Parts: sequence; structure tokens; C-alpha cells
Amino acid sequence: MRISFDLDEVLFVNPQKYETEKPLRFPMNRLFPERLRKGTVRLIHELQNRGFEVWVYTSSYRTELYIRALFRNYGVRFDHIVNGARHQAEIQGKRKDPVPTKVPGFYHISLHIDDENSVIQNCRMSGVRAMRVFEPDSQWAEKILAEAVRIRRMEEQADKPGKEAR
Amino acid sequence: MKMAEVSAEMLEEKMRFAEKMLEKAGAVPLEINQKNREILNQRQTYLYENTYYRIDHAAFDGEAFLIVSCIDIEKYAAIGLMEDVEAIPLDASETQIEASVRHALGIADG
Repeated sequence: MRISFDLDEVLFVNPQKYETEKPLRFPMNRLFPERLRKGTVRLIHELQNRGFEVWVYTSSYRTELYIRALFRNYGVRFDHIVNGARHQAEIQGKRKDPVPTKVPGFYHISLHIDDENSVIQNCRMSGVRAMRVFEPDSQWAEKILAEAVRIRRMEEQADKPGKEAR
Repeated sequence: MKMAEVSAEMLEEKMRFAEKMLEKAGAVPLEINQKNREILNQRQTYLYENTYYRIDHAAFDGEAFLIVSCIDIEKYAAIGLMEDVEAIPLDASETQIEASVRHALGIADG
């Protein structure tokens, strides 16, 4: 099962407002000034250890290389990254009408984590489960993990009748 | 090591060593940024697994570092537009420089 995370205000947070992971060593903290919400590293590892595919889905135009390099310094490797450029190329494409800023369903993502209510609403309207994380919450990682496990169980149960019929 | 203490010869030697480590890891030297090499004294660009890399140098708080930069779009690589992804102290040992270059390439050691 695939789960995706927004970056800004979800995994990247303001250290003056949120508890954060330790900054990178000097001078890597100058190359990568973003600060990770405390618990990010453990959460991503835990999800991957439990067999979830973990993606980044951001509307920012940070390059995939930058995002991968930043997280590599924390020992985190995402399975896939969708940034603003990839979304623009693969989803907006040549469509004249604007599409939502994120369309996790296009990538068969089962659960998307975001801070923006409009994204959450768009996800739900398109049948993708979404969870809002937008303020300091010491239980945020546990809540996401529990939701991911719950959704996977639901998906597995939904799959069962079809499999038995084959 | 303070940038002010670094001679041009030492800088060249360290950057050349880091480039050799790129090649040792399998990166292939390219000529795509020839114009910038001539005009801006930019270093050669290397290709490794569909990503373009270049060694540079920079000072942070007066300390000298080798910088590994990269980008995955050729037209940006050709004009030298890259992301800085690794900073290596200029006085790092050869073993440390090699390990850092491999880290920048995304090669997991051990």
C-alpha cells in the first residue's frame, strides 16, 4: 500500500513552533536548511519496515535530487517523489483546465498526508483517503501509523471476495 | 581549514582527487559545460546513472569545503545550474573524500 506525505508544514516545519529532528551537521545545515518534524525519521522507517511504500507528494518545485539528498542525510529513502514539476508534466500536461494541486489517486496512493484542507477535500472527493496534519501534535506519527494500518486492513478485506471468486 | 589558508595548488589537487573519485565510482566525464568551463572556470561535468555531477568549492563561516553538486536535467547541467548536495571539509582525508563522494552519488557502502 502506498502512503504519501506533503513536505511543507507536514514533514518540514518551523522549529520555532514545532519540535524538530536535530539539524544536520555544519555545513550540511546550510545546504539543507529545512527542519524535519520530530518523529519523521522513525515514522518513515516504521512504515517501510511494515511494508508500506512511502512517497513524497509536494507541490513545491524542489528537485527530486534535492529532496532525496536531504533525506539521505537522515537515513531516509523514499520510494518515489512527486514534486511540482512531475505533477505538472504527468497530470496537468496539456490539459487546458487546471487540475487540483495534488492527485494522489493518479499514482494509486491509498493515503495522503497534507496540511491543506483543500487538498484533503480534493483527495476525499476523488476517493483517496487523506489525513490532515497541520499543527504541533506529539502523537502525529502514531496517528498516521494507525490510520495506515487501518486502511491497509480495509483494502485487504475489500480484496478478499474478488480473490476468492477467481 | 580556513579558506584564506588554501593555496590554488591545494584546491586544484583536492578537487581533482574528488573528481577522480567520481570516475572511480563509475561517473563518466562529459564536455557539456565547455563554455562555462572556459568563461567561469567551472569544473568538468560527470554523468552517473542519469544524473549530472560537478565538483565545486565554497566557504562556510570562512571554512573551506569541496562541494558536490548535481542535477538530472541535461540543459541545466550544460549551463551549470545544479543542486549542492554534499559538503566535504577540504582537509578531509582521501578516505573521507571518497566516502562522501560515494554518499553524494547515492552509493550505499557497507
